[in-house]
Amino acid sequence: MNRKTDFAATAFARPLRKTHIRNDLDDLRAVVATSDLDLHIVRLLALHPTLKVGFRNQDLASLDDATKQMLLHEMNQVIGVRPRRKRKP
Amino acid sequence: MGILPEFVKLTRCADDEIVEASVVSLTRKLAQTEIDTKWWQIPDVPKTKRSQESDHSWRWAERLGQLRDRQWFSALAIQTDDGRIQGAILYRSDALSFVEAGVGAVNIEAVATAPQNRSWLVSAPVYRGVGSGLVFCAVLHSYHLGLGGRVNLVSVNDHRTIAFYNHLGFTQVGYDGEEGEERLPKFELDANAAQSWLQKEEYENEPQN
Repeated sequence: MNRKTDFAATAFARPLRKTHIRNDLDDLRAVVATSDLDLHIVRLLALHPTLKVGFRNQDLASLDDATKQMLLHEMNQVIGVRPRRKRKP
Repeated sequence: MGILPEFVKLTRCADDEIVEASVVSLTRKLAQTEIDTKWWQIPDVPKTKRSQESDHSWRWAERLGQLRDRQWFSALAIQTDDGRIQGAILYRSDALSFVEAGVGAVNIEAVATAPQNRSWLVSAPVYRGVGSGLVFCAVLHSYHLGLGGRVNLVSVNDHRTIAFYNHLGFTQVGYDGEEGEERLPKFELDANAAQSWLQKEEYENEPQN
């Protein structure tokens, strides 16, 4: 890309129209996520109804990080996300 | 966890060297001290010129404090080793595609590179690649949220900005603006363009267990 055009302002003062915001999602305002991983899992559950069948009743507070990573792995498989990482040089 | 990049590569303009800068969470305090207080302290640039920048009036800390539905928003910044914030982005993950009915997307509400990095504003810009690095973070996050890497935004009506999004692979998909409002261009990066960008940046699928 032409790096001379490295600027990216958006219409900060104009909120996104309600018609462009999903209205089929759970209200997450009351959710307390204690880590980035927890928040990611909570968002995935809210964004993908297919996940709710198998994973809805998971109590994240009772799980350790390794179990949460396993849970995330399973959730990714259900929704078809293969995590990406930067290739090592 | 790898949902977001930990680092981005910037070009230091003085010697064209590639340097790594950290991707950090943009807290209200960081926004207040490093953006709202410091970004526009560029004494060599006349006030009239500074005030012509479309984001000159933005108050990042205030906006972060206003957020409802906070769990859907992400605020990130690129921070160099000297502690300075070189750019910032605010986006939400509960948006809809502008073009594909009912399909989710990440929507960028605000993104900007620090004024000291703008070649048209200062005589010796410090870094290049900040804006694209920030938008890439949103694309990668969209991908990991199962939204295909789709990202959209309403841009300011500025030829430089429009050129920026076009170069990144965004497509202009109409205008935003109701009667009496300025019509502003809407852009979206679709899933195919997002995949291409991820590959170009050498982001590969992790091996499956």
